Amino acid sequence: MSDSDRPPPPKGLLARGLKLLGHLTHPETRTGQVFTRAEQRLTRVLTRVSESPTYLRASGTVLRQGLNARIRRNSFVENALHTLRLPTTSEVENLRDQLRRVNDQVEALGSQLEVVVDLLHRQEAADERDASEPPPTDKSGA
Amino acid sequence: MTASTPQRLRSFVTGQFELTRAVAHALKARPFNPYPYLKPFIERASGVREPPISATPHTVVYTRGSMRLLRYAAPRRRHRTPILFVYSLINRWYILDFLPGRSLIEHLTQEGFDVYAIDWGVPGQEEERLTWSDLLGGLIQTAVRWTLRVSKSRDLTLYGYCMGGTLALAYTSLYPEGVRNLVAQATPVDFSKGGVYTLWTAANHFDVDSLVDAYGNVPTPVLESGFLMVAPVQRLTRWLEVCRRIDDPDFVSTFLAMERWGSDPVPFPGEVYRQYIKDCYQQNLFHQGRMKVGGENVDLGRIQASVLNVIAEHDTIAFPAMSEPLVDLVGTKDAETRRYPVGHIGLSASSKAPTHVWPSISEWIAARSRAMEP
Repeated sequence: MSDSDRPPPPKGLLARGLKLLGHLTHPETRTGQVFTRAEQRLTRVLTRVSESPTYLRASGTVLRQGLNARIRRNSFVENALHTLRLPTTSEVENLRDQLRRVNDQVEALGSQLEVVVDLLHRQEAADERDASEPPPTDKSGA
Repeated sequence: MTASTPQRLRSFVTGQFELTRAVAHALKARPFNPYPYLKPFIERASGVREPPISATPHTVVYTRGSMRLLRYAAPRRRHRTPILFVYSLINRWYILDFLPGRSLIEHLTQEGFDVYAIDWGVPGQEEERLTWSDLLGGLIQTAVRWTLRVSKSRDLTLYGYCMGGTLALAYTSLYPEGVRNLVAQATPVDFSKGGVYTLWTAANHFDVDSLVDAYGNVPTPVLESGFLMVAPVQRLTRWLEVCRRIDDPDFVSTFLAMERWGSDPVPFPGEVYRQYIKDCYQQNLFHQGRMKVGGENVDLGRIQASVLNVIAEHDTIAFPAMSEPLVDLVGTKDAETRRYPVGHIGLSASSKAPTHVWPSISEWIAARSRAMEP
């Protein structure tokens, strides 16, 4: 049996389910057309809401209050942990971050050493060339 | 050969276990992006795994803090002038090296360019106090120096993408030495034309000071929620297309790679964000040449390097109107705008890019680069 004669590989239940979902929401099917219309309407509503001055003012106020509460809470927790001589979460994260960066720096140092060695080689080659060339003769005889 | 019933049963049970574990893991992290929740189902149904990140061979040349400078050497180098990519601080650089055969970096290396890219990494506590001055005069300047040193060149092409383009323009204005050409791809310049982003970041309802003071670096959920709000429904419904094409491994692989990149934002360095929002979005000082970095004005009129302004006509992140004024603002006479019928990400990852976008850009760069000496 040639490759083209072979039936397509069997699909799992999940693949068939996803394909059906895709088919049902395709704009060319009747259900898909309903879905597309609903999608467009929802998009229009959300766009209108997200650009309305009321929404922007309200979300701005909520965000500001939330952030200010967070600033106060962070300050309180950090002070409490420092009083107990315990590291804060951000300090532990910072330590982890530094370890990751050391790894990157070691890799970069390897590349930088290659550049330095390359420069030294070129310098050495130039010095050797200068040394092997005969010194210029003084034509004036002075 | 068909598997026996116990084998199939074992495979089924193992598969269900892995699926449950992956979803439970996603639920624990609770990201906004649907990718971690839906990926296990797509992988299981299609049998396709997400492709590796940045497959083009590269080495780390330099690191400082969370930043890494990566080198993608050309298999056969033809141009002495190297290219240095400055990517945005919002997402990760690896969209520039998306997939084998569909990678801007790979394309440029095959065209004979020695390519370098700045990976900003994952900003941590050390980056909270990083300023624009540190970024331009410290990190980017050092990356430029290392690029010139390693590539043994006197000058380079700076290639900025999105906010990276804004950084590259500001850098070239303040430190023009060594920058021969500048490519600004999908780069915001006039921030008053930023549509919904300008509206959302307006000073009267967006308190950037509280945000930075509360978190240090701007956390990823805050950045993600902004992008989610732009197209909340489409964020979910685009997954239906992959359901329809679940038996097309190439499509599934490309889709997963794109969604993985989109769901991989990094925290934004706090002080850089504060000045970016205030000076660019809220007051539009960058466009007016009045943004101050390290006590100096960022004046695009000082840029004398050749400039290519790359615009994506269907860009909904850096709208074309944001980038259009660039050629009139720079000091050089060799400034040109090229427009392509793709979206913001399409410039780097669409199926059209390898044939319609990259050859045109690499031809522009090649014409302005020094050739390798024989």
